[in-house]
Amino acid sequence: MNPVARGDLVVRLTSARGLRAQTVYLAVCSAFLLLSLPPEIGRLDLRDANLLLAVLAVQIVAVTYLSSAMASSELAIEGEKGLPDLALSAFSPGVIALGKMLSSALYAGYLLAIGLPIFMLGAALRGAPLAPIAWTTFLSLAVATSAGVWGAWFGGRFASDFTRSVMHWLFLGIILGGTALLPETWWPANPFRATIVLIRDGWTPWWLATAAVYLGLAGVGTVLVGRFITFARSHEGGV
Amino acid sequence: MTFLAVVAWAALGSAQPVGGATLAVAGLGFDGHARLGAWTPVWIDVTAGTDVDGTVVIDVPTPTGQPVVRYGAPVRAAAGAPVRVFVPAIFFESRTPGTVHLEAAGHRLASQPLPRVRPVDEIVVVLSSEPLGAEATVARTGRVDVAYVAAEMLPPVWQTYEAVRLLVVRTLDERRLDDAQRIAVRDWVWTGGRILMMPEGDDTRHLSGPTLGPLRRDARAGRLGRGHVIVWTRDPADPSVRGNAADVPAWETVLEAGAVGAAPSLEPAVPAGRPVPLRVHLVAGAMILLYVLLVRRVSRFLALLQPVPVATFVVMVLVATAAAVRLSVLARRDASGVVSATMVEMLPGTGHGLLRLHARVVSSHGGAFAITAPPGVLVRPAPPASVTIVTGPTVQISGQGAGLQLSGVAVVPLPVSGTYHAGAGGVSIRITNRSGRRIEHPWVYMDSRVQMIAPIGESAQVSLDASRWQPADRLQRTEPHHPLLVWTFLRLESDAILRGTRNWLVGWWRDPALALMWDGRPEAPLQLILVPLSASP
Repeated sequence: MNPVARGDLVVRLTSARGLRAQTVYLAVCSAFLLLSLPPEIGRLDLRDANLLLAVLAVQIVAVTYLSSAMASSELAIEGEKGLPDLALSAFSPGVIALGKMLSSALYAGYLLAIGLPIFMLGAALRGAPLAPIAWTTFLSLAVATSAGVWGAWFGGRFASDFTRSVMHWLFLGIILGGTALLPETWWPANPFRATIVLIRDGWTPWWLATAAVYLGLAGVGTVLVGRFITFARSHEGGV
Repeated sequence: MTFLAVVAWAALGSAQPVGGATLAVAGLGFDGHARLGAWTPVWIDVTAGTDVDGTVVIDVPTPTGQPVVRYGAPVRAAAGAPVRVFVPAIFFESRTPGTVHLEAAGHRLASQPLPRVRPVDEIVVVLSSEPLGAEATVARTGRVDVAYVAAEMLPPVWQTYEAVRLLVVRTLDERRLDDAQRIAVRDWVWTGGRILMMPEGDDTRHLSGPTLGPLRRDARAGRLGRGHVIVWTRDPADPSVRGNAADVPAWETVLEAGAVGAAPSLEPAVPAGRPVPLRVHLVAGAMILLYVLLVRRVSRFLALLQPVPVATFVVMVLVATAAAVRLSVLARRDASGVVSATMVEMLPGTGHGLLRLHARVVSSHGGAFAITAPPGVLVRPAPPASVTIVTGPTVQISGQGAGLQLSGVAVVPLPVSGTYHAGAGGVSIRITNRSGRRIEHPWVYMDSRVQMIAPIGESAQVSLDASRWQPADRLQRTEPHHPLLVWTFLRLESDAILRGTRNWLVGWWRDPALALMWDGRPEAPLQLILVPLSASP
C-alpha cells in the first residue's frame, strides 16, 4: 500500500483527535436521525423526499468537510504529515500525490461505511427507497476525495493558516454552494441539486457525469500536489 | 406438453371447483327495500357439494366502480345441507348492488349477482298477516315505503335496522325468531328505534311474549333508552275497520318523528397521529450508542491495514446495516396501528350504553393489516374503501395500506349510575360503578360548566367545589384527549336528546375488550363514558 496513504490513515484511525472526529461525526448523524424520528412514521407528509434529502445532505457535508479539513491541516491530526513535511521526505512526488489522493478516498470511504447503518436506519424507518443512499454514497466519495486532495494542496500551497483556511472554505463554498447558483442546466454539478434530481427522477447518466467531474477534479488536485512537491524540492529553502 | 397439460388442468380446476356449490339470495333488505349507504340485511342460502368452512362475501362496488367494499360472514356447511347465512352490507347502487361469492381456502367456489333493490329513504317494516291499510298515509310522509316481512327475516344485527323508520308488530310467531333477532330488536329500540305493537284482532299473546314483553315492561311513558315503544290496544288492520279515515291522524303521529337523525361523526375527535412508541426511541438510541463504541474499537484494529482487520470491519458494517434495516422494520411495525375516538353514551333505563367509535389506520409499512373489532361492533369504512369486513362472533377487518377510516356502533353494558343533590351546602353527587373498572379523569358537567373530580372506583360521593367550575367550551388544550372531550361537551349542548339532561358524569374507561385489536394487541383502549346524573330524591 502507498506509504503516504498508510501513514495518513493510521493516524486518522488511531489518534485521539481522529477518534474524536469520527465519534462526533457519528454523534451528529445519530442525533439528526433521532431528532427527526417523526411522531408518526407512516404519515404521508413525513415520507416525502425532503427528509431523505436532508439525511443525504448531512452525509455529503460531514464527509466532505472532515476529509478536506484533515488533509488541509485545518483539523490537524497529530502525526499526519502535510505536504511541506513530505517534500523533505524521500518519496517521489508521484507517490506523495497518489498517497494523498488515496488517503482522502479511503478515509472518505471509511466515514461513509461507518455511517451507512445509521443512514440506512433513517431511510428505512420512513420506507424511503434505499437506492438513492447507495448512489449518493458514490457521489459523496467523489466529492470528498476531490475536497481532500485539494485540501492537501491548500495545506502545502498556503503557509498562512488564515489564507489556507479561507481558501479551504472558499473551495467548499464553491463546490457545495456556488454550484447551486448555476443555471438549471448545470444543476447536476451541485451535489445537493444532483441528489434532488436523483430522488425525484432516479438515476440518470448525468449522475455518473457529476461523479466523474468530481473525480476529475480530484485528479487535477493530485497533479497539483505532485507539481507542488516538485516545485518545493526545486526551491528548497524557499518553501 | 406436460406443462400445457398442467396449466390446462389448473385452469379447469379453478373454473369448476370440486364438489360445486350454489348460492341463492333468500332476502335482500326488507322485502327488497333498502336505503343506499345504510346497513342492509342480506340473507344468503348456501348449498355446497362438499363440506365447506369458508366465507360468504358480498362485493359491493361504489357507483364509480372503485373501491369495492367486501362484506362477509363465516359459513360452515356440510355437504348437501343448505345453510342460511346473514351478511350485513351497505350498498351504493340499486340496479347492480353487488355480487355474492362463496370463498374457502383461498378459492372462489360460487358466485351470484344480487338482484336490484328498491331504493328508499326510510322503511316501515311490518309484521302482519293482513295489510295495515296505512300505506297511503305512509306514502304521504315522504320517500318512505312499507315492507311486509316474515318474522324469521328480521335481522339479527340491530345496526341493519338503520333505514327503518318504524317497526310495526301485529303478527308475531315467537317460534320463528331466535334470541339474536330479539336482542337486535331490543337494541335497535334502545338506540333510537321506534316500535309500534298492536293486537291481532283479539289476540294479544305476542304483546307479552319474550320479544315485545320486556320492551313494554321497561318503557317509561313510551320511552326506552333513546327509542319509542308505542302500544295500540286496538287492531287497525282488522278487515272490518281497516282503512278507517279516523286512524289517519294516529298513523301520522306515529310516523312523523320516526328515524333518529344521524349522529355527528367522531372523526374530528380522532387523534391526529400515533406516536412512535418510546421503546423504539430507546432501542434505536441504545443500538446507536453501542455501535459508536464498537466503531471506536474496530477503528484501531482496522489501522493495522491487514486483510483480517479489513475483513472484520467490512463484516461489522454489513452486520450493523442489516441490524439497522431489521430494526427499522420492527419499528415501523411497532408504529403501525389504529388511532381512534370511542364514546359510550348511557341509554337511559337500560343499564347499557351506545358505543360509537371512529378509527383511522396508521400503517407505517403500508402493507396488509388485520383488525378485530369487539363483538357486536359493526364497523363500516368511512368513506368507502377497498377493505373486507367479515361479521362473525367478532368483526374482522382486513385491507392494505394506511389512511383507512372506520366508524362503528354497538350496544355495550354500562352499569354505572349517578345522582346529584343540590342543597344549601352546595352540590354533591353520588356515583355507583358496578363495572369493575375504574373511571379515570372524571368530569362533572352541569349546565354548560364542568369540574374535574377524583377517579371513581366502585362508588363515590363527591361534594363539588363551587370555585372550580369552568365553562365547558373553554377547556385547556393541555387536557388529555382534549379533542374528544370538547366534542362530547359540544354534543351535550347540541344533541336534541342529550341536551334534555343537564347534568352528566363524563369519564374514561380502560377496557381492552371494547378496543380494536391490531396484531393481537388492543389499540387505544380508552373509552369516554357519558352517564346522566338524575336528581336525588
